[in-house]
Amino acid sequence: MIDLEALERAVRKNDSVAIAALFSGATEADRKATRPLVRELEAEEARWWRNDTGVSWSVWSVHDNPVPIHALDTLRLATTPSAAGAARVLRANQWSGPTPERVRVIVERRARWNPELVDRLTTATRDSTTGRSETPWEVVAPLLEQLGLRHLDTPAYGLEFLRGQPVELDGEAQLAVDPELPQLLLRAIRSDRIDEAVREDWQRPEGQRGKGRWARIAAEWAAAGHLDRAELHRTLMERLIAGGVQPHLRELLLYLDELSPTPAEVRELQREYEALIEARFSAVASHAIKALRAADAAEPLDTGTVLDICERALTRTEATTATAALGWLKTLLARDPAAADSVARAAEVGLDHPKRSVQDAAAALAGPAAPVTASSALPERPPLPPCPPFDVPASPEEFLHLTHLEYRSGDAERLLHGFARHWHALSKAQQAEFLNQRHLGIVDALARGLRPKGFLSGLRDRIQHPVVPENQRDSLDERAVEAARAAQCGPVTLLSAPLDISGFVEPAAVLDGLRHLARAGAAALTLDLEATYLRLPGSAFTPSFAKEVAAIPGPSALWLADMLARGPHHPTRMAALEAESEWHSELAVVPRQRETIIGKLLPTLRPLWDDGTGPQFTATLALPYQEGPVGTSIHTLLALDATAENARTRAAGLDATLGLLATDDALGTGAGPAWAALWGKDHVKLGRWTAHLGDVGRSSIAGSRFVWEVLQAVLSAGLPAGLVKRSGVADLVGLASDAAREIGARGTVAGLDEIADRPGKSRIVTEARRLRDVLRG
Amino acid sequence: MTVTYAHTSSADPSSVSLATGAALVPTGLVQSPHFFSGFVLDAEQCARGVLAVANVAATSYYTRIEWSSLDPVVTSDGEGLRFESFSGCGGVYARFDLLPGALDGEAGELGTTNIDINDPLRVALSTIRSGEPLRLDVGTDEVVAETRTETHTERKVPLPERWIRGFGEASVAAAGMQLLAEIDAREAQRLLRSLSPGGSVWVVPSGRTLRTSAIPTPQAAYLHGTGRLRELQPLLRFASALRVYGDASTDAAPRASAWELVLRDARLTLTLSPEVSRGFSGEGGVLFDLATGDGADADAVLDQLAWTPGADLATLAFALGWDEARVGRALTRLGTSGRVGYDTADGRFFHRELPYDAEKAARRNPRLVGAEKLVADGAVAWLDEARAEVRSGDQTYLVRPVDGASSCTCEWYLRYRGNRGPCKHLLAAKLTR
Repeated sequence: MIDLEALERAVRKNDSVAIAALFSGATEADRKATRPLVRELEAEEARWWRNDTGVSWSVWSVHDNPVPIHALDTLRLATTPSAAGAARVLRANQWSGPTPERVRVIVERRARWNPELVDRLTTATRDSTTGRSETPWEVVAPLLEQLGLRHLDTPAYGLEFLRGQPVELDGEAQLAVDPELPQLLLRAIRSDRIDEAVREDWQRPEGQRGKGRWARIAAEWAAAGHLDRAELHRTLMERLIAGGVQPHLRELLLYLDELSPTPAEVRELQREYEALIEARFSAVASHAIKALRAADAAEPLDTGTVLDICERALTRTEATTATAALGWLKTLLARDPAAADSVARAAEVGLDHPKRSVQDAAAALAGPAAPVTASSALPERPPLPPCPPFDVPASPEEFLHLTHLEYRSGDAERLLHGFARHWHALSKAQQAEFLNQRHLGIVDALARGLRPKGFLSGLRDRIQHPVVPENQRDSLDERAVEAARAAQCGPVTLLSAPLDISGFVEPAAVLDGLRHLARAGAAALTLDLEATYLRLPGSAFTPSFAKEVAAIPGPSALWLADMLARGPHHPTRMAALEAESEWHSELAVVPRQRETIIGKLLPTLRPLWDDGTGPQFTATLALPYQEGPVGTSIHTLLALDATAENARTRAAGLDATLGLLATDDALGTGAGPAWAALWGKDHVKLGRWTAHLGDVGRSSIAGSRFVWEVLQAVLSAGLPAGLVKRSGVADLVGLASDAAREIGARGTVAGLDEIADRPGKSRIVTEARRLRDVLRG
Repeated sequence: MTVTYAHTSSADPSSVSLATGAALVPTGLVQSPHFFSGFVLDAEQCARGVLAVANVAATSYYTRIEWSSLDPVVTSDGEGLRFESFSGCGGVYARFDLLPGALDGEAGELGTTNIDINDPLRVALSTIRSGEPLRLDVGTDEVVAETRTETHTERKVPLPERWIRGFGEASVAAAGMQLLAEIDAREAQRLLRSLSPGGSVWVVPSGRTLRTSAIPTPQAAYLHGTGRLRELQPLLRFASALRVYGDASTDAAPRASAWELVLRDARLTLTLSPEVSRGFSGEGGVLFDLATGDGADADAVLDQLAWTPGADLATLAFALGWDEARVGRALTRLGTSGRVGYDTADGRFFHRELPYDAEKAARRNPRLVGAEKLVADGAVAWLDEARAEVRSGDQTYLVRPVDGASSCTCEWYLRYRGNRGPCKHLLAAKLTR
């Protein structure tokens, strides 16, 4: 039996030597009996960390820990029931590690799970929570000896062992260190982190020549017969097929390069090489096709096999492998003219490749793709999807939750309408919880409205919470104050709740609201009624609607009917909308002439680095559903969205463009100059424009027309002025050809002839010639 | 839970022998059942399909995990073979269906079990090519097994409980989906190549193809973590179409989607959880049913489904003489324990009997366990017909366990708004109702 009092004293005195002595000769049953004490000490230690370290904690505070962690870890090692627990302690880190007394504790313990412990300690791991773990050799060596094992018997040992070898030694010198090293190297290759074995080399100053060192040594050993060359080759192939992280695969490729398999050796492992053609990492596929081509050159492969390999390679996204495959097909055609049909069929796979250069090379072998013309399968215009709804909180809980959630554009407006609907259903505690969130401007405004006039004169606000400075308050704040004041007298009816993110109110809902107020003998809140007036869609300004409103008794309906009679473009309304545009935060819920919105927004707009959640994002989505002309500001916004970093922002730009195309057939005419003005900006990525416009073109015939009109303007402005030097311009010209052909466009593009007449067959020249041919009919 | 194999799976260019773990077959528990022996008509497609399912099992699309030793499960229904797995993160459910037309051979036992996938097998599967006859053995008869046992050692692999919970949640999610779009393989290739890694987008039909969108529409599928569709790529060469399934609501909340490659007499389906960080096992969308459902109906439905290729809702309702809603509830209950799966392609439920007490595993769901503890501690106090207070630790939460509009004032509910199933407080209230 172990003296528990003595054990506790030893732990509290941080005396690991004494702890080791107490467990000397102890049985597993004795150790088990101490576990309640271990749990108590662990709980006490955890409590100290949680409660007593306080905000002024520093690394020196650990000396105040009543249960020193070092001693506690030694105790854990002596009592843990599993290899996992022991490994956690023995893996070197800031607090623990294999100190001499701990080595004694674990070696003397002779636990039945020691083999598993060795396995865990010698496996190179990087776990997500603790970072890199080192192998504690101090404890592994005696455990191996105790278990009667050699270092070759431990998984991944080779990896760790290789890491420790001096970089200055060559292959022969390494063998002198340990004749088992070649087998260790094979074991390391079979692990999934051979890159780990060489990383140390790269980091050490003397290891500058370390890159590829083990690969060179492996090739040396294979040449000298210390390693079976065939086994090394096969192992490398198997690991490349198994895949893994890129640094690991890159390292394996270095080994393969150094080994330089002969064509005959490649043929022996032909199936494995073929499997690599579909590897995830493009460099692996590239190596494989190169090796297979070399083997084919040395001794021709079966035609069917070559065709199969090339078809696979042509499905890869990167151009290099696909281009190599097409080159190989060309060689095959020269060698075996009878296979022309099969070669053409295989090359057809390349016609769908995303890179135009591959498509061209494929077309040269397969014949050009079937001409694309305006297809009856495509709709005339894209459909207009429904506008995303504006969700007013449906329950008191949702209303409360809204203050805790990540801010979305329109949430302040949602909170205002949620307040009107649910404030009186909240308990006093919930109301207090809500008002506690005054860092939100809208809550602050509501709180101000709820405070009796003159009470404390705002002193409480200033000493308790930051409030929104007066000069930053907008009309929404004023409406909130108004609603909150009204709420002190009873439930509030607001008429200005938007129907969806366009910001428009539903005329029928306004009528219902006014009738409800009339029945209750109440008037609408002044600012809310004004907001409602501003939010009515232009289509509601009709005599019949004005008549229906006028039929409702009460001053509110009378005022609104009078304003409706003045029409949607009355100077008062337009000036008010203009003023509202100064406030960007709630754009989505204040409908205006859309060009005005975006025009106001553009100077501060950040579509290029918008994360897809901000007000500009919502404003973009709302564009198709709002009113007014589509002008330069909107086209500029959409062109910037199309090259935005964030995929969601780009998607929003695409939604808006297609939504506008659903109702405006001539959209492209205005868009062209706006896009053309941007092509030279550094942040504009032509590749993203190509992808975006490609999606627009595939949506409908109107989409293709839009694409052609935009690209005609961009190319006309850009080609004479240096656009040709920009990366991705050839794809853009290629897309212009497709769009022009699809709609049967004719005409010219400034600067196109100069490029098309250049000698040679570069991509841009080829694309320019293609476009010119299309335009000439 | 662990699975033990008597020998290891192996393959060469002309044959694949998959070792099976224990399975519950109609005649009882069998240690190494024999499900199929014969030929596969498209060798490479079959090898790539099995490999895709195995790759999903070995991949975590969210946080890094140690190289997984999880093995897919295979189900034989007497007509075809179905391989299934979950990713290490639990957010991707992969299923490869070999339909009757793809197989030419002798079906053996009916049932479900794990198959051994090891590194040499992966390499061998990668090197199998089309145009060569491929012999497939799923499990072996005793004579062969005895011979092979001499050369292979026994291997134990853990089968995580969350797979069982995941099977339930994934099938319940799939049963609520409908076909949103179908595009040909060429367009599928273009779409998958064009998706930016990471991020979240909606995918909507546009002309002849699909495009990304920032807003939900009735035809939009939500896609979070485009890398989760990676395993579709190697099989696109064999595909004739890509079908996308999802929930057709316009709610902006993230939702699960299913991506099915239509192959030659086969299908590969990847069902994605709503977000990369959310595994199916933690969704909890069916916990109410698990907590309160009646087992008798479930048993009756299972009698109809057991050891058959599957049946749709209407067929089951007709056979039992019940209305579809009642059958649906029973199927949901069966789904929670992973005993029933749902095939989006033909709209059929299928039987999947794992050799474990799956219901018990499902009931060990942490939220359900937490709710039962709250009930045992007497933490639930009803204020009126619709509201209850649930005391948990130092906090008291107000819950409204109303059908269709439940709510709670806890952090969990605040964050997910019921999109990941009920919190333990709601469950506790429901249990005491």
